[in-house]
Amino acid sequence: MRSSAAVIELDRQLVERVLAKDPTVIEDIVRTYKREVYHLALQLCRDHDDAEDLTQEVFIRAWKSLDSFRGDARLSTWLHRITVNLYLNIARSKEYIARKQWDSFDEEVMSGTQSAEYDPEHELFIEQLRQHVDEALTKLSPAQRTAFILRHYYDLSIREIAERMNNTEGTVKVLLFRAVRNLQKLLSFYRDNNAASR
Amino acid sequence: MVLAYYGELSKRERARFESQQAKNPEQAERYRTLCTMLDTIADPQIGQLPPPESEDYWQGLEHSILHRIRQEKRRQHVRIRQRQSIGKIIGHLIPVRVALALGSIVLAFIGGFTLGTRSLLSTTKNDAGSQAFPLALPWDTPPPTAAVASSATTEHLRNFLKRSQLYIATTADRQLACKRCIPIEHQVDHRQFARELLKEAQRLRPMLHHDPKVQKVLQDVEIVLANLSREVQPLSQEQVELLHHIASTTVCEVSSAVESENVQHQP
Repeated sequence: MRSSAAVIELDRQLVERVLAKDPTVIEDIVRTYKREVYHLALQLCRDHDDAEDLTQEVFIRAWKSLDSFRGDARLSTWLHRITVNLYLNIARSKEYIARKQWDSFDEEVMSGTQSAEYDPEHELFIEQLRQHVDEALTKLSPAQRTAFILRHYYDLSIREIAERMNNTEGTVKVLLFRAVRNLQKLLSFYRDNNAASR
Repeated sequence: MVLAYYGELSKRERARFESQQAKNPEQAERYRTLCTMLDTIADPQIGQLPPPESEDYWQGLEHSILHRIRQEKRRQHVRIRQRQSIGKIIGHLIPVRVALALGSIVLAFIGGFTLGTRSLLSTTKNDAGSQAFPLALPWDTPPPTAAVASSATTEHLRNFLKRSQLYIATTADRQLACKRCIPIEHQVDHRQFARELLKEAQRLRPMLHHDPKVQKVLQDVEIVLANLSREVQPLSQEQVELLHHIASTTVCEVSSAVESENVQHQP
């Protein structure tokens, strides 16, 4: 693992190469940021195949827009912004929504058959919890999920999220509030179970 | 509560929130539940989907991304080349097209001017010829426009029919001794004259395909002219009467019909 100072330095060098119109810089950008972009894409899409497609699209979009990159932000920030925007655009498309509905039906059937295979009780509990949280996050609207994930897992401030989502801070606050409220509803049975066990 | 959990409250807001929590245990309980839930979700093992660990996967992903970028680069190059080649073609085409357009305009002008002049000359000639009985009218010059063509054809037909009428009448009247007609002796060679008129009638007929009545008359005139151009023997009484009838009646009728039609067509 690279230290954050090394990451910042690497980012700065890449920005310099982008500004110098180095034609080979895109290869190094892909090499450096593929995991980070994929990770964010995976948390947003909640699906490996979709995350892979989104990651590819992000880098192609980045390559096409390299000329418009002015260097006033870090490359990782810029790539995050592209990822979020592309994800929100894709998630709004009807085809994606229809496919997601079909996938969730498929997963429900699969999860019913797989759950018995986990032997240790704790592991089973964690796995079930993970599945339920994943399901709950999947049920959030794309914008709510994006705001929640960027805040919760990426520890970005409201202002930073607003920048990445091309929204106002007020909108992001509303999205975050609704996301948390929906998650509370969707995961309420855990709260009840916890209360009962206490 | 959400903003409090994420540390988005200002110092003053935070203090006010904590005092509310202290006063309201139910709200404090709700906040604790929320924190528990969000902490649970925050656990990377639970809330976050784990990315693949295999290094091969990452290499494969990198390869496919770079492969797609290369494909896009190639497509872009092709598009640029296409645009350049189209630009070149257009670049070459522009002077050619301008030259062609200018050439067409000049040709159209010269053509129009020439045709107009010739048409004017032929009309003048025809007007003069109608009195002097010319052997044949210049028919090889196409009229410039449909309207002009129609009027020129009508004019030619009228002119032709008048001369035919006159010729047939004079020929027939040699035997009938009609005092209205010009004596045949005044004509140089009536067979040659008939042949010329016949040729003229044959040229005139395709131009009148739209009017069956006129065509029929023309056909009759052609038959008589054909007979006159060949006939060495004196005409029979029936033939003479037919010719005179054509000359004095049918041709006159058609001539007047054509004339009146011509008057109607003119604005």
